[in-house]
Amino acid sequence: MRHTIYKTDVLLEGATEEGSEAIDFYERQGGYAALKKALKEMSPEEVTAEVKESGLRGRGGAGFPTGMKWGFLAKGTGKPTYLLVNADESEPGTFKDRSIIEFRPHTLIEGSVISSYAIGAHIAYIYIRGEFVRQAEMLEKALADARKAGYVGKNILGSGFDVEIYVHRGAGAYICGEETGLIESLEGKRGYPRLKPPYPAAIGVFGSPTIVNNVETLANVPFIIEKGAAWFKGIGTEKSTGTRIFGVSGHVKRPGIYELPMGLPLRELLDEHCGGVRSGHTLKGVIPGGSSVPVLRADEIDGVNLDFESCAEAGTMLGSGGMIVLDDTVCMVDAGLNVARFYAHESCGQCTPCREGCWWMVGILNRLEKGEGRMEDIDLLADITDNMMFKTICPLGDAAAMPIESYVKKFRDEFERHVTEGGCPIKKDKSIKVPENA
Amino acid sequence: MATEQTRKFEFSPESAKKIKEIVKRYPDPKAAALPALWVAQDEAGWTSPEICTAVAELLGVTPAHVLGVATFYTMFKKEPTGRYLIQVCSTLSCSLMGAESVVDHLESKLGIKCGETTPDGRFTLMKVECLASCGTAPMMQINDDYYESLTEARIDEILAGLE
Amino acid sequence: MPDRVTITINGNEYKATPGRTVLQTALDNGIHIPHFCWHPGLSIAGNCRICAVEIEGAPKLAISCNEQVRDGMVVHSESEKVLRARASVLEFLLINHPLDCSVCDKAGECLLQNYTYEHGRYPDRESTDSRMMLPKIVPTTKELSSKIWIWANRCIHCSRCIRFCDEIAGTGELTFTKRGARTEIDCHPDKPIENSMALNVVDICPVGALLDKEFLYASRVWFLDRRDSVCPHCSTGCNIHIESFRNEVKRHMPRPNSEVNSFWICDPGRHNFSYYGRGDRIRHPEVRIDGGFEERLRGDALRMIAERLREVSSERLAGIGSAQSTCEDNFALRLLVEQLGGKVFAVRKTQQGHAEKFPGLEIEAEKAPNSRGALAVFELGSLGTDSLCKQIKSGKIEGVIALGNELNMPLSNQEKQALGKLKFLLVLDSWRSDLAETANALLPAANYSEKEGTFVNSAGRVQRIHQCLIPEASEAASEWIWIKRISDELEGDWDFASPSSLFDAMAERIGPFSGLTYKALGEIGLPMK
Repeated sequence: MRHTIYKTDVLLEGATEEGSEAIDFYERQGGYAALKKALKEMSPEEVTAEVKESGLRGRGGAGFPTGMKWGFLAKGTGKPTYLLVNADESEPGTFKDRSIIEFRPHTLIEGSVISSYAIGAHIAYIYIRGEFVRQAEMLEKALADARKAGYVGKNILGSGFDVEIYVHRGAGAYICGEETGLIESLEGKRGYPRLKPPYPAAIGVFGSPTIVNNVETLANVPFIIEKGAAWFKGIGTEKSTGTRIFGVSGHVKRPGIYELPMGLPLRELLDEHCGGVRSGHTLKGVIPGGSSVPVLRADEIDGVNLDFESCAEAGTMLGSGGMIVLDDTVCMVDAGLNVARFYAHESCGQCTPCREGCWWMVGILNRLEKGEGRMEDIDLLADITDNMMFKTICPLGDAAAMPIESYVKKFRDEFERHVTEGGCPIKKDKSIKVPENA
Repeated sequence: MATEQTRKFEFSPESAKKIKEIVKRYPDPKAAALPALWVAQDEAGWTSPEICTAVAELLGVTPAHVLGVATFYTMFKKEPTGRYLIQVCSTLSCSLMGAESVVDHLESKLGIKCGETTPDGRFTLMKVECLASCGTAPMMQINDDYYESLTEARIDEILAGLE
Repeated sequence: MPDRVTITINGNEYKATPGRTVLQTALDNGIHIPHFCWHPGLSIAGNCRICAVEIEGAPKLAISCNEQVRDGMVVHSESEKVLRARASVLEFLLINHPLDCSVCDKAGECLLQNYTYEHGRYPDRESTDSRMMLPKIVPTTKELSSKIWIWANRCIHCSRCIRFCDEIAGTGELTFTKRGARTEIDCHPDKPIENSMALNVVDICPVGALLDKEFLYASRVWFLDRRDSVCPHCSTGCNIHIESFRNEVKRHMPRPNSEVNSFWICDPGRHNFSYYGRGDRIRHPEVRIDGGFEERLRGDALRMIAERLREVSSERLAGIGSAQSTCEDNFALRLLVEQLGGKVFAVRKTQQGHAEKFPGLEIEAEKAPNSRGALAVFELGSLGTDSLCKQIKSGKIEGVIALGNELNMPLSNQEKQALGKLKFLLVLDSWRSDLAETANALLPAANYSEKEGTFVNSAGRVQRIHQCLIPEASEAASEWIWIKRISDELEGDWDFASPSSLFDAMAERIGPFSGLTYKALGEIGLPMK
């Protein structure tokens, strides 16, 4: 995967070089200086204040301000605090946390130790998806090296602060990327998201105040501490500060990893960095931030910038930063079916609208694609998405409904042609594709 | 049928020791359910109902609880598989880059349909959901390793290298 | 207690207690918000989503089962948005629900049926040919245990049964297996659901997914006649409904009583049908002649009994009460014996069996419903016939009137010897028990399902039972009725026309019952003093 890292900046600096994952490589780059600074020169409150000031927002998909989340931690409960690192990366189209874990794991480890110090956690668990077997091994090695160097464990750098970090492997469930699903899974149960309130910052894992942060979010923390909030705010836009590791996939000439400041025009990432749509084909649509966000038609892309606000204004979301590019060989009903099947497979099954709605959508999309659909099915599909949204225990219901709602809304004529023409009218290309400029 | 008893599963001493060490990481032994099931599956090849009972006894929970956990997660196998478990990612990005053709190619090369195991017990073929390898699609996971940026030639090369 | 707050529901103000939810407050005030997964006896799950309401100021619908009341909260449970969400939940549930109503036991008391009738408003929008092809990807029927069937494709995944096993039974045999729409309820083969409270899951299942093997296809519930009673199986005194059709009991159901059994009953009590239809029922008055019994007409029997009783000297008459008869029956016995000059009473020891303590229910070891009541009526300190037997042996007692109903309770050797020595033994019993077989005269007694009266449970709670069945082809009647007839025959001047007046007299005379009346006891009873 290293060969597909095309743009590095802060988080992925040096990641294209062999051995970038080693601890001495990281130290040579100046790594772990931030940890020294935090433990020796700053109080936990000051660390939190710096992170808050930087405007760092969660990089998992929701974009919630990190410092604010830390501030919600319940105090004086008499219970220990826990930091949970969300390395469950399962959102289709997303492969950025992997690049950090494989090629720059120490940014994550250093970020986790500093963040634990800030929130008063003495145990942190890295919940890593079960399929990341080799990646978990790499993390364990990096942790062992960090422990040996005295960056993790007891009395870190003589500061008197202890934190132990454990790797906890998942076993194949997208829903365990949802913070309370993750917590339930960590507690040794089925990954059923919890009713909120109470929020994890009040009552989380083992009944204790808990912060769940994404890998990329935590990887930013050492840089914010070392170079300061003001520096961080100078990157990106006013409300979406810092860099983002964008993962681009689909029908572009150069799919891969691009770490860039937030706020760049979508067009720029698509055409300049990724080389544009593959030769001989035209752009049909772009899903900016993972399969859970609404699609943008080709004619809707101009003027959309890759930051939280601009994407929201355009009726979609920046989400996980996993951009999926669709060209003219893509049938939107077929794409919808693929995406709907994913959510149906991953739905935990707890609540009615998601459990039943996901498979219902699969059934309708399936018969539409086969040419056995009815015209009423299209409005029915839209109504089902409406009945699912904002009515479930967790956002997976929304994540399943929103994309389908957008495909129907923005490509309605294509859906209707499936009915009137009794089959799929798109010349799909299911062959194995090799990216041109890879 | 609900009332048939299972045969007892005994952990090997190494596995039992491993699990005991893992339990120490958590304030509540129940939290070791997933790690314990991983140790068990690494030893036994799958997570049978007997294994669920053995894990339940180690952690102080009911067998039903562990059964519920084991069946929730896709990676805990409900039946033994071939020596090499081939999992082809089939979600959107990989599908755009030809995942269906990867599956077709494997089906014809191995002579089995998706979900089946070759008669010699070497390969089991499955479709799975997004493996976070979207920039290097299409791809597959065989046991613990990722094989990315697949072409038909590369698939043949990979298969040839597996005994 | 914290100060009450005011909330508005559908335009009307209500007082609410902090700590309670919107749903609880609405239900307290007769506002029916439909709910599947919430149950007053279990923890909150919040997964069915049908109880969702609109709360002013909140961006999304909120599930009322998990929403704490706050002062000034304004709730709408019948707005267009809410009705549409409610109907959508029902549509989602029905989309894969098998069309089993015509063969499903739950019909008539199925929440899915009821709510769809009331709140579902989407016509069947799914194309008929593909409707059942969205496979409910679960197996259909199987035995979940020796007592419970599961029709897995009817399950709506409310998780009530799982929470029951975890929280109330404390045995944790049930779990969800698999994921998403493939989720099923199951137990591990090494620990099937065999705890003694298991069948409560059948009651709380909102649909016909979990079914009682004993009741399977036994009756349509709308034919059942339902009466309130108290389970006689042990001294816990769980409140029950006896449900019968054409004078035949089809099932027992728990009746909620927060002071006794909450919402639950145990399985042995639920299936305690041994009272009904036993072959050795005593149907008519009988007298002993040369080694056997012969039936007598009522008048003849009463005259014979009265004559024999007159032959017993007044202080030599004793009474044996029963822990299986009502307080009223026992009290009537006391009055009759006293009318005839007797003063000595005893209540036989009760059968001791298996006690079990669950987090949500306690099954007592004492397998009789009214030992405390019987002891209170006769003002005795403890059970047992030792003293009485000694007195019979020494000749101090020559005649006994005994209440039976002693299911499976054989006479001890001491009792056999003593009762064999009596000049006259009158037994009022429902079945040919050991005691009945020793009698000189037998009168047919009604059992607990055939009478009005009261029992007192192990905690001293006085609870009413109601008549549910008519004893078939027999003259069986409550013991107190037979006793009054004997008293009349002996020129007594009793004024009791009903068990209620007997109870009032008892309350006047016997301290622990003072101040109680049937009206005060109501449906859930009151403690003795």
